[in-house]
Amino acid sequence: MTACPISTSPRAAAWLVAAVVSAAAFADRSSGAALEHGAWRIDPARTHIGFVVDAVGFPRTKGEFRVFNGRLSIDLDRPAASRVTFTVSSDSIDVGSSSFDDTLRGPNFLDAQRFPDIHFESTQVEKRDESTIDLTGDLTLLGVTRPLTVEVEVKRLGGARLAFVAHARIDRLSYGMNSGFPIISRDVDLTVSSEALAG
Amino acid sequence: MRGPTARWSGGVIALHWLSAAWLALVFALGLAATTADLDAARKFDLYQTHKALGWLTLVLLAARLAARAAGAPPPPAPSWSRATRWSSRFVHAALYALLAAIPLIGWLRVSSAIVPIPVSLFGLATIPDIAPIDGDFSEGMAFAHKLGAWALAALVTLHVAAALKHQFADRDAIFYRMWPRSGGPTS
Repeated sequence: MTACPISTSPRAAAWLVAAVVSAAAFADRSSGAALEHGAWRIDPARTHIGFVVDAVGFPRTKGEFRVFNGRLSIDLDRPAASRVTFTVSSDSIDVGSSSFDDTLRGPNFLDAQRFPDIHFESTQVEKRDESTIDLTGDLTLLGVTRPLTVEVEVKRLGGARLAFVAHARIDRLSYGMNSGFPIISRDVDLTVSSEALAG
Repeated sequence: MRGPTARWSGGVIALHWLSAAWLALVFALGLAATTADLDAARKFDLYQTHKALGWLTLVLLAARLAARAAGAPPPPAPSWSRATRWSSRFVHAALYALLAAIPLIGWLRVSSAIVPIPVSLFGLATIPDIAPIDGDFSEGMAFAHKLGAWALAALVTLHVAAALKHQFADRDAIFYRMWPRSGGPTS
């Protein structure tokens, strides 16, 4: 892995974007951890890890995870060697009701006491087009590790600011989170949005 | 007229009115949880509050039955016809039966639900499940719970209408037997 220099070439920028998106998605909000080597810096106030779950006879549940951290290495010469890891604290789930949060943290869902972390580690980075990246990796949830592909959209906001939105659909049953199915949908839609600043 | 025996005891009267207010709240929470257009978090909280207060109606009912058993009930008014006595007895028995059945059925519904969210007494205690998970059984219990709640609402309406009839049409002052302050000809 090499350093992550600031580049003005569009190709390099695209790969940088791929890496930044991943990092931005799971940056540590409290410390505002930025890209290594100071090339880009995540705006923690504009980082949001949200999820949506549907259920029969119940409103769509929308929530977020408030505690997370990420690590990023970028290799511009060999993009495939770039690497993203992130960890989300299960306990930090927030759906807007402490009682609901406690239920989701409990043994029937996230089982946060036994499995305090949700972990992602990238295995492959592929550019789909000028504004979309497919980031593939392994997601570990409830102690089960399975491959996951995250679609990342990138948008230049002007100046030295980039906006990223990452989407992934998680099949919770494949991680052994069976409670409530089929009343509660098996699919959990994850959306991560963030902004990064150059310099 | 009949002295103290013509009225219910203070404990029975207090628990009766507490129960009336409590049940009105539980009914309103249940109605709102099932029909109001709310976001998931607010709806979850409504359901959980309904479940907690609803489960506690069983405790309230046990207290009422104990208070009732502790003293002799006031006798039927001499002016009552046989039909009035029997209809009164029937409505009261049905009220008590529903007061026991509805929360028990609700407890069974929650226990057997596919979505496992037990009754929590405001985070202080979790009520154990009393039935294995069974989606069809749970849905059946949900229907019975709703049917029971509306039957109870109908019976309470009848109960209140009868009390008002006794008070304003018959003028037999039966109402004061359950009123916190005594009054009328029987006091």
